[in-house]
Amino acid sequence: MTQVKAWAGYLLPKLGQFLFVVVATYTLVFVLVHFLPGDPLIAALAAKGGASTVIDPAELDALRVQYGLDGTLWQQYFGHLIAAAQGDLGVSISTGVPVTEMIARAFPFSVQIASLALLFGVTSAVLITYLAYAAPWPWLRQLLLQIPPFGIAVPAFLSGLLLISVFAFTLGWLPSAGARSFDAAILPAITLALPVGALFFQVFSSAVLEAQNSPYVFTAVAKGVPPRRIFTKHLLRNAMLPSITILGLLIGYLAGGTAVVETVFSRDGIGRMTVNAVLARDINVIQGVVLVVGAIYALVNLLVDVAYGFIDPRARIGGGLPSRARLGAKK
Amino acid sequence: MTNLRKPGFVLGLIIIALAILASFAPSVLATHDPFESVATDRLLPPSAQYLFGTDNLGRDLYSRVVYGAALSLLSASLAVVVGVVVGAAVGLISGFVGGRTDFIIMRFVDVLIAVPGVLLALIVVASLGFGPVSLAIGVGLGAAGSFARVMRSQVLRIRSEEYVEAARTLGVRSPAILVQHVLPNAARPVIAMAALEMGTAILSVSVLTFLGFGAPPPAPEWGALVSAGRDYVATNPGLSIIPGAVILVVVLAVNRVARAIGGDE
Amino acid sequence: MNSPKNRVLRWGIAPIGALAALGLLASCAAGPAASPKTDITMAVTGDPVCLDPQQVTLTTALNIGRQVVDSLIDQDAETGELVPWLAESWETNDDLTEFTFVLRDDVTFSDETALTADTVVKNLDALFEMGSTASLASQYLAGYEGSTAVDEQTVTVNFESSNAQFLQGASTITLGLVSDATTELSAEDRCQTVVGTGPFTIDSYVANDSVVIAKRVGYHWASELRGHSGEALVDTVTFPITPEAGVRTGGLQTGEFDIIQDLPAVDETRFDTADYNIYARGNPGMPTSLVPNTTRPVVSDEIVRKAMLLATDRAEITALTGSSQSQPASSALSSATPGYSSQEDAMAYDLDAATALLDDNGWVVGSDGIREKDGQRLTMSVTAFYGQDVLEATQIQLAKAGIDLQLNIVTAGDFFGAIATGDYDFLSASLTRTDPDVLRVTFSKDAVSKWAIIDDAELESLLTEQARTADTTERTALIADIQEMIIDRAYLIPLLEVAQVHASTANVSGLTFDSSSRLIMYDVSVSE
Repeated sequence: MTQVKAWAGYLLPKLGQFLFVVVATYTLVFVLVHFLPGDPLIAALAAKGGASTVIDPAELDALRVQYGLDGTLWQQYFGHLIAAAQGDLGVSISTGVPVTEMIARAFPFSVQIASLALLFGVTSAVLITYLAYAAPWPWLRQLLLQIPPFGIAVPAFLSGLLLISVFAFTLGWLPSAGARSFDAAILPAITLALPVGALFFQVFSSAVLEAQNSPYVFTAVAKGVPPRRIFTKHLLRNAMLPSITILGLLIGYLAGGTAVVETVFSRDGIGRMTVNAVLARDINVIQGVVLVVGAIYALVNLLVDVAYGFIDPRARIGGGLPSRARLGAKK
Repeated sequence: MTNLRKPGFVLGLIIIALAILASFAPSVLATHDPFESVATDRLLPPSAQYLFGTDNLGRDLYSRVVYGAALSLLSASLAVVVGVVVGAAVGLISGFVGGRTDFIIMRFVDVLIAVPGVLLALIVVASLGFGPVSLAIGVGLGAAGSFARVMRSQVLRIRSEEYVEAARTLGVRSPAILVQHVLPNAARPVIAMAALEMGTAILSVSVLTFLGFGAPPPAPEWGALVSAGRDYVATNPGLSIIPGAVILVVVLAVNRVARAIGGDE
Repeated sequence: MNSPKNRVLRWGIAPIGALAALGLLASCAAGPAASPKTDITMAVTGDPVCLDPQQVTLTTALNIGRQVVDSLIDQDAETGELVPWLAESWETNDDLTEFTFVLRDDVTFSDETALTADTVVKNLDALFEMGSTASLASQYLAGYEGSTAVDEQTVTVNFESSNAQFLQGASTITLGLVSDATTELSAEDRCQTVVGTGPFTIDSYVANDSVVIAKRVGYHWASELRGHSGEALVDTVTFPITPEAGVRTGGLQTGEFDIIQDLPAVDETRFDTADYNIYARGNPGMPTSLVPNTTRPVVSDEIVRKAMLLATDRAEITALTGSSQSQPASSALSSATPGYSSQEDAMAYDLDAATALLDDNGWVVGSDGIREKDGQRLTMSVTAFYGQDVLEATQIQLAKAGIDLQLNIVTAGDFFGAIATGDYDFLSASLTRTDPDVLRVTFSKDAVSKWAIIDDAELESLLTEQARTADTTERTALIADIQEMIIDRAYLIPLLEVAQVHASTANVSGLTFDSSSRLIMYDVSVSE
């Protein structure tokens, strides 16, 4: 019984936090978005009607109802929120397509490059950490340790354009744009993997460093266990745990990174969709995307918290993860 | 000052100095008028006359990069200031007041961090009108959350220090305690973080101008230069890659110096 | 054996090897096809937004729309001659108020319904009902009174006053015919998909991603101008939406795209080889120009506009931004338009004359190089949604005369929204039409979709008169007068004549332009 109570005591506040983050995100964006200048409906009408769009007030009002933009701000706020809770994110003003449908279509493309980027980034980070750890020469270690700061500093549009220039135009190995074939995801994923891998490296390598100083590693080294075994058996596992706490952060980074990468590589995805939506002041799409991304971020954090609660019983009692407050400082 | 012996640090300082010079006195470094177009000199590769080559309208890319420094760097600096001021203020108040208010404020800070910085900045810039100041506010707000968290944890740490307890017992009033004791001691980690944040801010500003949310043409903001060069990647990749590399070099320099400053103390 | 060095090397080589393997795999996947292609791709520059050919004005949408609808008449792109298409024959009365068409009796829509005279009536009625939503169509149908189906294959169209451009309009994509069922849908629903008689049908449309059209089985009513009769020569055409020019040209090089829309001028020499075909044609209509709103301060001053006209070096703009096929603008109409008359002398580049004009009228050069008069700075803005390089070049030139032109590059929606609300100093765009009536569309106060906001009774009467003049010689004279007046009073600052320049791999053959410089893909085939 106490087990259940302990779990409930740990989980319920987390759930509450999750809900709060989602609603608060929605509120923040709602406020911001209603400061956008101009009337998006006129622009939307005009885009279809071309040069001779005539603004008919009755028509505009009807459109307002259709897009959920009628009523007072409070009515719109709660109306959209309640609808969103039921899975209805409204209709896009610029394309006329339901927002959920637009997001559902664009999402897989973003997930494709984001998950590939996560894979590339994490594997390279682990690899570089291992190589730095096992490097027999100090200069090699120094060189390897320079790579991650580089990865964070390089702007995604630069790395993307360089990759296109070399691998697509000069060598012709991979497509330069689009989402029509699987190999079109490779260059964008590499571009995204650079900052993500660098971020992960920071956390992972410092965790490895910390674990390195533990007594059982000391013993293992004294016993003559080869570095590779020490790394895979002890360091890797122990360093992974604190590293997954920044998963939410990485997802936030990936979500933002897709905006640039999808633009550079002309891919459809939520990043580019959001940029276009902001340019067109398509309120419903902006709110929908931010809500979805915010919810995913909060969900990932929630799941990580739960997982950590399973793995490390101390966290359950302490009510949180020790390292996240420190890690949350870097974004 | 062992840092001065490290070549990386010195190089970083030199680059930053050049960047500052370009921002405040571009005519010193530039070789041509960045807005003058020479029809016969379109799309030339780098040469002695045109250090970075020319763009599609025959304008000298090097001079445009130099004149663009002010736009990009000053926006980024302002963004960091906005982030620090807003974030630190929020963190200070939240940490000091504590209790329910603290809890609620920090949940909103969580949200600020939850929304990806780029998306948040996009919306802010679109609302306020494209331009360097809106960029600064948009990027700054995105960074404010992290500053708030750091400031707050510092405040919590210092609050329990003995000298603060002592001041309280002596009857010193809260605002005075805040200013005289908490602020100076909490400032240092925040400033170290601000220095680190500068590199990120330069990147964020260039990303936004790349996406078209900066000042209208012909403003030579660095991100806008990269974007304009995209149509020519197949024939003149330098038009995009050189401004991009400039951004990279400046960010690396800023990060290197910031790390040294932060780590040193 | 197991030294650190060896281990590092082994660990290092493995990932590099993996990457190399990936690269090889990818290059295999992108290898050349061995057999003639039945599914081809054409990269287009933007999202068509709406697929109803009768409503759209965007070039991409029109290029796609041409493949799925046919028109009553076809027009020879070289000679301008009108030939039968869905209508076997036609006749008009003397004052161009009554047009009678006799239709073919073997035409069906892709939903298997037949094309009858009634269909034409429904099309025109529905189109007229749409009013301003179908902006181009409403111009062709100015003065539409109604149409009647005389019998199954004969239809008469009536106008309340002479309509000189209707016949040519009947050959355009805009008056391409859609099925009865389509005419009953709302304008919004029609944007999602239409049913036509064309050699292709719309297979799918994913916003911001691509449009796919598929061959119409059983098609056999192509006009005599086409290279063959019968079905189209390819099974499907995919139009990936690729706004970035670099991506399109790159895709053409790697073979990802068979055809690309809008080959940038700077890439022309690169693709002018035996491995590629370049397709170029000047657009008839109004060239890319600055179109004024004379109710705005500064813009209202005719002296300022005339100075702008003289200060723009059109030859330089063309050299900087135009393709090899582009020509400097020399009138309010482009040289490919019937009725064009050169105003070269009146608009020749003369910076000295421009500065003298401004100096003599009280515009004094300020400290920042921009002129001022009575506290008003000589600054204006231009709103556009494409052609940034043309405008930047113009901006630089005008600055030499002390004129400050601010660029306001917006989305297409905001551009047309600005037109709807009248919120602009200048617009910049071109308008492609094969008939000089484009001037009335742009300048007339009564035109629903006018771009220039001016108040000139003399010009207005000329514009309305030419639209009603049946006699071609008379009409041409009127059009010449209109062009002269527009340039003389600087109601337009023409910059650059637009040319469509597309490119394809050398394997592609049969791609042709129609009389409005839109693409016809009916004869396209791709050999191996």
